[in-house]
Order: sequence, then C-alpha cells, then structure tokens
Amino acid sequence: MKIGFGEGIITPPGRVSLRGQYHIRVSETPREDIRAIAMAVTDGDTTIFWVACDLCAIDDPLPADVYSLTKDILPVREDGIILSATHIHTGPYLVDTISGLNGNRMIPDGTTSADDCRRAVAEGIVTAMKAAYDARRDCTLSATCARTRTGVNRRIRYTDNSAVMYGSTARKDFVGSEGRDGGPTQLLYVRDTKGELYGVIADVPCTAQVVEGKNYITPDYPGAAREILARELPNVTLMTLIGAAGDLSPHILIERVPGDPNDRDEDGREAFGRLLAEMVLEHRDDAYDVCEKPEMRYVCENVTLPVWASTDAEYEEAKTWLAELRKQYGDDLNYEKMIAQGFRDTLRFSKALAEIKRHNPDPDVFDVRVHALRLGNVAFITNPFELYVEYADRMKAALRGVQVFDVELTGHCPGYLATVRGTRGGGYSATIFSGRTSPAGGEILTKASIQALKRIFDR
Amino acid sequence: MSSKLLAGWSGADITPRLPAALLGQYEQRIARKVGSRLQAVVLAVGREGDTPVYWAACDLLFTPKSLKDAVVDALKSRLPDADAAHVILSATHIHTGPYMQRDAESSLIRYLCDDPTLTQPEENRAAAASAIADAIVRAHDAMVPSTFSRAASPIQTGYCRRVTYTDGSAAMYGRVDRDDFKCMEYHDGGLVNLLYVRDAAGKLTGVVTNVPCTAQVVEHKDYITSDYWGYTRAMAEASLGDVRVLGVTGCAGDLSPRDQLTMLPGEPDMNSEDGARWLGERIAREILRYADAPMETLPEDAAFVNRYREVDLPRWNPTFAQYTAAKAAMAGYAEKYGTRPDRYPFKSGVPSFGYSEDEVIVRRFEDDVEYVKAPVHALRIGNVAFITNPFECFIEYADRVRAGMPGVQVFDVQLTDDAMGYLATRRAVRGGGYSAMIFNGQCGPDGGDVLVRESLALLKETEEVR
Repeated sequence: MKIGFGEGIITPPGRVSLRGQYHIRVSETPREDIRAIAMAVTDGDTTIFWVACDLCAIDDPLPADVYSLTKDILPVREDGIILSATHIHTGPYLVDTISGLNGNRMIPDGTTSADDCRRAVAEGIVTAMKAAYDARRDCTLSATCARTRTGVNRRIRYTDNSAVMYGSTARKDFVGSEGRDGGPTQLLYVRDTKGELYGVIADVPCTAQVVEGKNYITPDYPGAAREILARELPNVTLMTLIGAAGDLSPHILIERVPGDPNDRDEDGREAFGRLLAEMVLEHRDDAYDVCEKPEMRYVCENVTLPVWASTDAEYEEAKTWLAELRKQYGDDLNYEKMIAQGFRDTLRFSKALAEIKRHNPDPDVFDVRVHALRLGNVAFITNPFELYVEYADRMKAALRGVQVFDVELTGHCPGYLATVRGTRGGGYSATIFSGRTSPAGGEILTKASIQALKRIFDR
Repeated sequence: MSSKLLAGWSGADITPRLPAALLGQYEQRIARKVGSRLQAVVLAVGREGDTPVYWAACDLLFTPKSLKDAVVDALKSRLPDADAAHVILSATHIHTGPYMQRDAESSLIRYLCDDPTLTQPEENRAAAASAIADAIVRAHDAMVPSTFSRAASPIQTGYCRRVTYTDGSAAMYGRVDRDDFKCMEYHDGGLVNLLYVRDAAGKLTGVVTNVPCTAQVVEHKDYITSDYWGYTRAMAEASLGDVRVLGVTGCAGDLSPRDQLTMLPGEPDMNSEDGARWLGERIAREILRYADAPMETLPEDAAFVNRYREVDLPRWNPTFAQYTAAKAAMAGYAEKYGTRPDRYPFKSGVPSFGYSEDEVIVRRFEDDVEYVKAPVHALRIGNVAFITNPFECFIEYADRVRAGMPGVQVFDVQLTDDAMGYLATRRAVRGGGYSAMIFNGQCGPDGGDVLVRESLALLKETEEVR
C-alpha cells in the first residue's frame, strides 16, 4: 500500500460572499488562503483519493466537477474521490441556489460568482490530488487518540424541556447541555519505510468555526494548526477531518474560565490550532502500529433515507404562522427586517416554509453516500451531514477493538441530522428545516454505516 | 490595605495498620500489603489575622461526618478556632483504602467483617483523625505570605459511565456494543482546575488540583493504594521539589476514569496500575505545563472569603407503594435466607442492589425523616471560587453552579465533609440503574435542585463580601 499527500489552494479570486451565517458577509481580501489537503491511497490496482477542504460544506456538483477534471489525468473512479469539508464559515459559496433561511440569494452583485468560486475550488482540489498521487510511497501506519477536549455540546437544555443552540446558561431554568461533548481526537500517523513521518490525519470532533462571524477568508483553526506544524515538522502534511459534531462547536458555553482566549476571535483560533498541533506532536511517538503491512479495503454505498415530512398538524400550524408573520413583516415577508428582530421569527418562518413544502402523504426519499475505508486495522466511516455525535458513538461502539475515525460533512451536505432527544428539545439544528432527514433517517444511516464497517472487517 | 494572604502546607500518612478490610466494592477484600501509601495533604490558607481554612484532601473512599467530627475534636485544644466551618475534609474516592466507620444505611457498604485480627473501623478513624489533625497544626504553623495563580487544563480525565439504551433504561458501566445501545447519558468531565501557591520568594509550595475524575482506576485490587494520585504526587515532587498536591475531585458521580466508547490498543488498561500511573502522570504533566505559564496570578489584595452552611435538603423518600412492595420483598429474603443480612450470599443469588434498595426503602419510610443536612463550603480567593458538596454528585449539578458564576473559575469539589451517597439527576433517575436508585443516595433530584440553589446563594455571599 502506498500513501501520498498533497495540497492545493482553493481561495477564489476577488470579493467573495462568505457562506455560513444568515446574513450577507463579503470578504474583500483573504486573510489567509484556504486549502485542499489530499491523500492518495493505492493498494494493488485501486487508488482512493480523500480530500479535506477548507469549506463550509461540499455541494453538488463539486464532486462531479472534480471527477470530470481528473478522470483523464489520474486513475480515479467516480466513487473513489472522497471530499470532506472542515466546516469553516469563512469560505465561499459553491452554488448560488444555496440561500438564506427565507430563500434569499446570498451572493450579492460585485462578488465572485458561485460558479467561479467552485471552479477555483475544483482546480485547487485537482492540484492537491495530483500532488498526493505523485507523492505516494510505501508506508507504515500508527494510530492513537489525543484525550483532550475540543468540541463542546452547544445545545442548552431548560426545565421546560426545550433546547436552544447556543442558549443562555445564565437563565434560571438552565438544566445542562443536551448531550456529550466531543470525545478524543483520533490521529493516524503515516511514515515511510525509513520511519520518517510525512503525513498525519487528525479526526477532530469539532467543526472549524471559531471565527465564524468574521468577514474575511480564513481556514479557521486547521490553518493555524498547519502553520504551527509547518514550523515544527516542515515535511509533514496535516489533514484535518471533522468527526460528528452537529451538536458541538468550539464555543465554550458552560465551563468558561476567565482569561480563556476569545473562542470567536483570532486568539481563540490560534489557541485551538495550537491545541491540535500539540496533540499531533505529543503523540507522534506513542501511537500503536496499525499493522506492519497495511492493506486497504474500501466500500462506497448509497443509503436511501426518508425526507423529513411534516404532519397534518404541523402543516396547518405552519400556515397560521406564516399568516401571523405576514401581519408583522408585510406580505413580502421582509427578511432583513425579520432577521433584525432576532433569530426567533426567522426560525419560525423557515420551519413553516419547510413544513409546507414537505407536507406530502407519500414521503420522498433521497440517497446519501457513505464511504467506509479500512487502512490496516483502523477504519474510516463518512456521512454527509452535520451529524449529532450520538450516532457516531453508536457506529464506533459497534466495532469493538477497531479504532473508527468517523468523518462528517463528506459529500453533498443535506444539513443537520439530529437525534430523537434533539428533536424533542427542538430549536435550530433539530427542526425540519435544519436537515433533510429526521432521526428516522439517523437510525437507517447508523445501521448502514455499521454494516459497511463490518463488511470491510469481514464481520 | 488588606492584610497578607498566607498559606501553609503539610501532609500526613493515613495508611492503616494491616491487615485491613478495603472499602469500595461489594465483595470482601482484605489488604495485606501496601502498593502506595495513603496520604492526607493539607493546605492552610487565609488572611493574616483571620481564622484560616484548613483543607485536607484524603486518600479515602469517603470522609464521613464521624471522621470530620473526630478531626475537629482533636484540634480543639490546639487550634480552637478550627471548627466545622474552617476544616474541610475531602476524599479522593479511592476504593483501596480502609473503612472509617462501621455503620451505613445500606448493607452494601456497612462493615460486615467479623475477623477480629483486622484493623477495625474505629481504630482506622482514630488514627486518621489524629494524623490529619497533626498535619493541620503543622500546616497552620507553616503559613507564610503567599501568592496564588490559576490555570485550567483541557485534558480529558473522567468519562461518563452511564450507558443508556433504546428502552429508556440506563446502566452504570453498561455495554456499549449491545444492539440497543443509544448513547452515554451525559457529557464527560471537563477541565482540570489548577491553583498554584507560591511563597514570597516565588517558590512554588503547592498546587490545588481539581480533577473531575474519581481515583478508582485500580478499584478492584486487594492492596492499599492511593490510586492515580500517588503517581501525580510522585511526579510533581520529582520535578518540582518539595511541592504538595492537594488533589480534590470535581463532581463525578456519573463519571469514571474509563472511556467506554474509545479503548485503543496501546493505551493502558484503566483497571490496572499502568492505568493509574498513566492518568496520574498525565495530570502531573499538566501541573508542570502550567506552573510557569498560568492564566493569571491573583492580585495580592484578592478577596478571601469563607462561608459554610449545613443546607437542609429534602431526603429522597419512598412512596407508600414502594414501601409496601419493599417490605414484602424483605419478608421474602428473610424467609429464604434467614434474618441475618450480613450472612446473605450476595455473590450467589441474592440480588444485592435489589436487596439494598428494599432495605433502604423500608428504613427510610419507617424513620419518617424529611430533610437531611448537607455541609457546604464556599471559599473565595479573588476570581477563584471553591464550592463543596458531600455527594458523589452528577456533573450536571456542577454545570449549573458553574453557569451561575460567570467570570469566576469555579473549583467544584465533591465528597467533602460527609458521605451522603450519589446525587443523581432527573434524567438519570428516569433511566434507573446503580447510582440512580433510592438506596444510592440520601437525596434525589429535588435535593439536587436545592443544593444548586443554596450553593449559588453561598457563592453569591462571597461575592457580596468582596
């Protein structure tokens, strides 16, 4: 088995509308380039490319674009290109149909078009893939995990059983967080046959959204970590993947300590990057051998999930809400006015729109792609969602004795995938408009992922 | 100009005379050897001219009220002001130390050994109380002008140990590879809080280390050991010289040192000495990491405020229906196994948790007590606050206290000044299982709510005094 790593810059040219918030933000000039970090793995006749991109999400048709650009120059197969996002909120839109909560177009005049952004991103990804392919060499693998806190649960629970993303913990009815924080950060070290380290895969259960509110392009904490490691280990590529973290974030809500770096600003980004870099450095010599002669096993499966449909009662309630909102904001439901009033009505509005649109007696289904990759004795399993961590826990728990790197936001993103507990509490990330499928889809995804993992381990 | 802040340190060996029965599991274990010696580390701290606070962190499963009373009693002639409000006894929750008292509400932790050659609980308690009192006096005598600096480490130490299933049930240390595994009940432990103490010359004299993880890595061993704390202290001393580590445990009733979700090849077995060493030295490395790079050195005129209250908490009492069912079950046990519960074959047929639940339900219903007193200390040094409770407290309660004190670094310390059992949350009680049953604790979630409220009230008092 041979593995190589490569990098490409994916910063679009010009002024760029930034994806990740519900108001328009435009980056005049990039603060730091965003990148695609690619890994090429070849075993026998099969080569798999995995690319971690400093993007909010992967949107169709980016994967098809990349395949189209590479199929004649690299030994790729269509289902053998895995694209993951780090979930920065300070990168470009890739398609202009992605819209604000009310359907508004978020790419203002005078900014680089989504097509041009996507072209720049695709070209950067191809550069990274070619570099990774050319850099392949025989390798050994070792793995471990860093037991340091990164992502924390961002859904706050109250005595009325409701939950709110980034809810106030100062409220008298505060009970606790909804669920777990992120677990350990998983690390895979790749060395050549002389024992020289040349690549590290870090699977961090925390999205790259420290500086999510900023008006400039930045790769967030993975960029800070890369910068530090480039000084310490100049010949080593760090590829950051994001573990299930739909209900997590880098923003501390409960256990704040006075003097902590601001986890929404540059000092927080730097601190988080340093934390990740230190994990990589600390464990590089104590990881366990994945196996002397690593082999690759790979499956890619389409999993059919139900579209989250509204009930009759929700449909009726949604119509009432919309009527109420029209009274308040005018017949054209002025979005700017609504968002200026706060997030609450905007959420109500978006939920109502989704409930009306998805009121279907014969619920639709859609397919998502799940990649399961075995490298020696470690496994990777992907999903395209902002996945609540509970699902990943179940996938990992089902494969005892195997270190499972779960990776979210891989392939075209259908939004959040909340749990039953999450939807019971409600709030942003756990309602019908936040994701294309409900917890029922989560159950199917989890089972299918476990089956895929078991297949690559012959269990 | 306020008077100087003073601090003094000392330590005591509280290893029992052997052989001794070990407290912490439900089977009888007799220790005939010592792996690492048990210590009580003492910090005396206060403003010059005021009565100091004496905090002893003890390598014990619990520090029951009887031990605290004995320590205060032993200090009466030497430090008359060292009363219940100024003496704090915390347990690290090792499961490899001696019994401190004979009686307990549940027969599962009652002293039931009838071997007279073993060191008896009364002797253990007297010896420990005497040693701790002596150490407190020495710490008092060693008090010198000191500065304090604080830090927090994000290493993960304690992990949620309650596993929930799709039928709504929960089990401590439940299997996660069952098909009906749903999720862990709540989050893992958070930060390790650190408070460094230096003398006027800037020499580090000790570190208060608040870890949200009980010292029960080697909880099943049959020898005396201080678990991971022994390794932490040894490494800190080896690296920093004559430095004391006051190890106090954050709320961790639903946590343990074992990560049930992620267990990797190459990592130590967290039921073994290797695991205890790994965790202990990991904590020590964090102590070293921040020793010269703390987040803040507190100003010399930082407020020092001590508050103590015995808070009335509603006891977790059974309903009449629970009582009648338990009474019938007890009659069944008596018929089947006789009237001496200490002779019951718990390991071979008697459902020990079920028996304990029934036993405690009957006792609580019949004694008709509605409230119990929980000792709570709130201690403030600048923007650092300590808050204690006598439970194995589920971490959600600490979250609520911490969230109520923005701008303050809160060291929450459980298992202090008494042994009142687990304090489970509503979510946990709904799922049931060990640690969330009536017999597991004096109080239930109603008591938890009151504890949070009263803890915050006490902490607010320290704010107002500042």
